[in-house]
Amino acid sequence: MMDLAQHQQWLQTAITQVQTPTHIALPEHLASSYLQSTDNLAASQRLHIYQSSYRARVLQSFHAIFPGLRTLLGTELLDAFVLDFLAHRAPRHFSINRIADGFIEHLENTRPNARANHDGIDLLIDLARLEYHLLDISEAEGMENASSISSVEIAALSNASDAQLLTYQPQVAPCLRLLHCRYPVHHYLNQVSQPLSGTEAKPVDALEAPAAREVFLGLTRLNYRLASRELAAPQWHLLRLCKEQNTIAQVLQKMHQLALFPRADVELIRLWLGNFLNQGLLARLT
Amino acid sequence: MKQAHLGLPALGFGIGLRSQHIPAILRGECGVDWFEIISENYLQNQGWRRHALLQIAERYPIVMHGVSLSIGSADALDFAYLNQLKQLAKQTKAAWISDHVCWTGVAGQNTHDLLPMPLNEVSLQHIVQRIGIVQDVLEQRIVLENPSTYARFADDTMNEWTFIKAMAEQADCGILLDVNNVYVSSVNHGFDPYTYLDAMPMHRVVQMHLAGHRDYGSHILDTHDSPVCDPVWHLYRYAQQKAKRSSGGKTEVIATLLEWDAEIPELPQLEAELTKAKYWADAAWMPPLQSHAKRQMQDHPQLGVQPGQCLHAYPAMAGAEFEQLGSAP
Repeated sequence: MMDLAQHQQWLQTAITQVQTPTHIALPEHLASSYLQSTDNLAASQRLHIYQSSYRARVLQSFHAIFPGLRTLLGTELLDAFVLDFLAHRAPRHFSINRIADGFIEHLENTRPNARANHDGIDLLIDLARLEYHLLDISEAEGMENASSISSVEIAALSNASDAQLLTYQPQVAPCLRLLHCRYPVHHYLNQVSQPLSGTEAKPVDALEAPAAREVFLGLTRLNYRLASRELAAPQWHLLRLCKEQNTIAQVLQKMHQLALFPRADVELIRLWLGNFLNQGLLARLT
Repeated sequence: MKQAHLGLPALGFGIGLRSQHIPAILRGECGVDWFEIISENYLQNQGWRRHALLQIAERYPIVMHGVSLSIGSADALDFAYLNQLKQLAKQTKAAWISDHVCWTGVAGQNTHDLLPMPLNEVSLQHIVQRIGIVQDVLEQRIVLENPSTYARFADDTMNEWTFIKAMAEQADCGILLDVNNVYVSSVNHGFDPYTYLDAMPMHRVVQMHLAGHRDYGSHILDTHDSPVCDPVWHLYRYAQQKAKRSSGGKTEVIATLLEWDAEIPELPQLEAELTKAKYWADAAWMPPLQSHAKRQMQDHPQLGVQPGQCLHAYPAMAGAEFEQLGSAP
């Protein structure tokens, strides 16, 4: 008799490995050595119910997490990517909402050529990353009291001298995610999400893939609403450096060193910081 | 006389809390007695869904129903997960915490399915020991549900009702009696569902589940996507009747939860289905109609969807399927 771990390892493998391209279906005589058969249902048919259930559940979850990617690729191709991913990295987290953890890295690591943008692979990866982060942000600590905080912070910001401003260490929103994309995937996702009303809207299957354009995105959640903002490159780098817990003086110095923002204009920085507070990209100034 | 439903409250009739209903619930447009949540959807979640849950928990009793405890797994218990459960239970003042008599993965994996236990003495002792540890960590009795199953291991040495009864008594835990799962498994494995109910230690039954399923002729899938069928209503009445008898007629109706996790209808349809549940529970006071119920059981091939009619149906996992991003209404 097998022990508990052996029973479970066998069944788990039989259920999950059926999804791999090289899998060969378990013949009935082998299935029935592990599972009971009855007149109405053979052991292999019983196993097949669990295999189908696993496949349907994981694919349905990916469809829900990546509606844009599903539109871009079509269901069949997305499912092929998902099953390849799961063959390399089985789900481990207790929440099914985290089933796509590692999916973006898998797409990056298995792309045909790391340098070339074969068949829009950059677009695929950018869109997948955006959708994954939107799910992440929906469950992260958000900026739900932002309006009351930002008014205090903005008043302090307006009253601060230039010297004081340079000593501030801005705290980014806990849900802030910064994405540097090779395609304007946020526009594409908005089109996918739009309800089909009015004369402007196109059916999602008629959407054209966007043309390549470098975009810098700041994602956040303000009062339980997800928001993506397209930023200028220096703004995006400013937030990135703030995220590393630098003071404004340090941020400006690093941006200057990296030739990201040659003119250290304190008034412009003051304006940007105020906007970031209003937009829920920054949490506070300290 | 043993204490009915282990002294836990008789909550009445509830439904699973699902995102699309939350705005109406918060507007006070829902007449159910209580809500059951999928615990994992709220752990490590600081989003709108948790925010809404905490508001709802101020107005309604909440029961936490998990799908990833994996109490029967050969893997070590996940204590970080248990501590998160405990925290959420405190925050929501959960009436109790439930999960399933199953395992969801081994060797660190999570299949996100409720997989069948090998039914033998070794796995019985394994699960009893782990329930004890979990109850110590959570500082309360847990309540475990009989899952719907589609396979049994070739070297099983006992039937499911013997396993569950022994488990509940040895571990001193509660039972969430899913009447639909009893029916589904009875058809899939060919046993008499009334024998199953007769074996249950009814004073340990804290809650009952009702749900719809799909009949494929050779087997039934527990899909949670349709109304409760007649044979399940008859089983439900029989179970409530047994609970009343075991308490000497003193107990109230065992807390009943309607599960509907796919093709989820609007609240009024769910409330209408709960009204039926109240009717059937009230009928538990009437004389038993076991012979009629058994006649209904024989009719099951004519119920539900015929083979091939719904190619995409698959067993539900108690509502654990991904819910759309929570954003404020």
